[in-house]
Amino acid sequence: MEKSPETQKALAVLEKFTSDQCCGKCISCREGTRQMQQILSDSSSPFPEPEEMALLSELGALIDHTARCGLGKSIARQVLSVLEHRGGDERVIEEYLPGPYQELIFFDIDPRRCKGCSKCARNCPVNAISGVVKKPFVIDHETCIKCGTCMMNCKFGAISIKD
Amino acid sequence: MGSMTIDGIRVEFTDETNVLTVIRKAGIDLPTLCYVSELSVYGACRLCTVKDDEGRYFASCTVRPREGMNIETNTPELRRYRRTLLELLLASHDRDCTTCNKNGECHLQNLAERMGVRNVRFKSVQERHEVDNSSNCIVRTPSKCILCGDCVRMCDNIQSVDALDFAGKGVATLVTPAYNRRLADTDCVGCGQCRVVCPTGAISIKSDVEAVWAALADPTVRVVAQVAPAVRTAIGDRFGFPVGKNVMNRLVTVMHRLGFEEVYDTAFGADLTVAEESRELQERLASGERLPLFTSCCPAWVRFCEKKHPDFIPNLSTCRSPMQMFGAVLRAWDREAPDEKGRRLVSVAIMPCTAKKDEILRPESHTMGVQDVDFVLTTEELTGMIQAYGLNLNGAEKDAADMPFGITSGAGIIFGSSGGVTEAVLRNLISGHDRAKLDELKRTAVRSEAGMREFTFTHQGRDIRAAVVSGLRNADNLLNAIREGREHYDFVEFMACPGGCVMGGGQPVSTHGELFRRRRDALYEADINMQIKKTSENPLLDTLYATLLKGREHELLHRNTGGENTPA
Repeated sequence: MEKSPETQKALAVLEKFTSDQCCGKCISCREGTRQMQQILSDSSSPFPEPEEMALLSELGALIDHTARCGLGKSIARQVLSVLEHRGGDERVIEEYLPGPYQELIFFDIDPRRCKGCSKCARNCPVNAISGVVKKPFVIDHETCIKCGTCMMNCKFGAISIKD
Repeated sequence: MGSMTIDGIRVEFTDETNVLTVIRKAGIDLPTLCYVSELSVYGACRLCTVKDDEGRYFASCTVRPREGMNIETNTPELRRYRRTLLELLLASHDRDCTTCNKNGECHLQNLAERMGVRNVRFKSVQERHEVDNSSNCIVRTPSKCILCGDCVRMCDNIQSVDALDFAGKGVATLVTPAYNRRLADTDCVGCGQCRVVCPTGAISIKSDVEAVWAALADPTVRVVAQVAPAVRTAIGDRFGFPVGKNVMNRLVTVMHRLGFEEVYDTAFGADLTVAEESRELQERLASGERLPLFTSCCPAWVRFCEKKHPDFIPNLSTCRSPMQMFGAVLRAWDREAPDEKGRRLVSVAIMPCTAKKDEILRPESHTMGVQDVDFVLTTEELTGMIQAYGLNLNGAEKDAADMPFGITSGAGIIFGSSGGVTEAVLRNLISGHDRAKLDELKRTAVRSEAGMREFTFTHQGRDIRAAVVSGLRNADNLLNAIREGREHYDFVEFMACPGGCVMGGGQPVSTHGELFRRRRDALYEADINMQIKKTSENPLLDTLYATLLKGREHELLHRNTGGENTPA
């Protein structure tokens, strides 16, 4: 059966990651992404069924919270974001895809929109965001690994991709 | 120094290097698969993940304790993560548990049970890999490997052998010798410490159990056994005895019932070693040649020296190990007084050691072209045999080791602990039964616990600089120091396993923290109960040197490479 565009995208991300990028050290990322890929490719429907989706979400959260580095975490988030934003903006995943063109983009906080809630800073896997609560936060581009976690977490749409 | 909050309880910490240790000290045994306190921190299994009050998740083994930390270890979410992690591991694991050598003792199996994993929701993605049977000591079963890296760090951090490492990446990661070689083609010395730390059945002891069963059932052979000192204070672990209980007497009874015709004590072989080695030490001290004298009792150490530090081979004592000396004497005895029923002698050695399995096959372990010891069984294998037969050490009657080699000295028994050989040899240099001098020796660093210790012992006005080393990383450091002229010694005892034979690669593994101390102390306890403290006081030795060994000391008790002993 033809997979839905979301499933195909998520599978593409996972395929690239498990075959080429995953270092294989920590269990959550190594086995978790492998199983996410397995669930998606084994699914008999175009888009994962609710119980499959539940398992995927659980794995996503597991990797997000227990993986050793930001790379694995970002992959889990990408996959979930694609699947959860079904029919939504497909651009998201394209721009997170790790690759040479990552060099060309950067994430930026719009000081007019940022309310200084610190959520982005708390969730940044590499602690690249700093600031004082209730004042606009700033991303340190040297440290940033461009995983997009901050953008996904921002409730005020203050973070965007620039190039 | 400081305090932190763990699950709402204030906990003090002092010099703990990571949060996990503090949590465990607070009485919460967080599960881990890749954390071994002696090894470097790896942080791969993620089972010890905790959450702090700012909502951050981190693996507690990788973070230093900080003043004012407030963490939770057991939220429903964290428990679910732990279960899922185990499910993920099980999905890629060879789950033929019922036929696995580690069945019942597997750490992964254990944790799955503890964390309540009742089904695996993920598809099995297990990959089959070839079993590596090439080594004489250990077997690698890569499909049982969970990539925790404990063996890799043991082989590197503690043993500096580096026979195993990670290869590949992602899901294709493997723990393997470099270039996917067979273990036999690496620098592996067979110490078996990788097997000690392996949480699963991925690294196991090469079994000789079937061959020994066959010999025991064969009416044309007579099977005799020798039991190493370190076995007696460890095998009881498996039969419900308190850790470190000396069960030698019960073991003799049970082994007789298994069919071993005679059961001897390798401590007698150790006495022979002490006699020869102290003579060798005195000779070398007098001539000043080939000093320091290195002990040669530990086969893993001898291999290590040959493979990594060949320039020090001349320093190795020419003495055979206690097992080999005893093996040669048993064969010679059998030749002089053959069995009345004309049965062939099969000599089995019960050892705490995996490397001994390799030692018996070496060319210099043959006398007159015949292999001296036929089989080595580790403590674990003998346990398996006793259990398969349906016997139990617990409740067995006590018996003493058989004659004519049943009399041993305390010096022979303490061989099982790191420092024992040195103490035994130096004891033998003391003239007469000088209690004050014996006690003085006991109080030097010879009995301390460090992996590398040194002391000076005065003998007949001459200072003997001695060092006791266990763990091959320590050996490596010491050899480099000697080579560079930074250190000078007259006598160095080397044991490959940290703590000596009591912690050997063939011993029962347990999480009991006091394991080493209890096993070692039980050996010193046995020594206390011996009237014969020194090797030279063993009356059997005089008789043997006057009869069987007369003129044949070198042939039977020393390593003769390339001579007439070598098999054709």
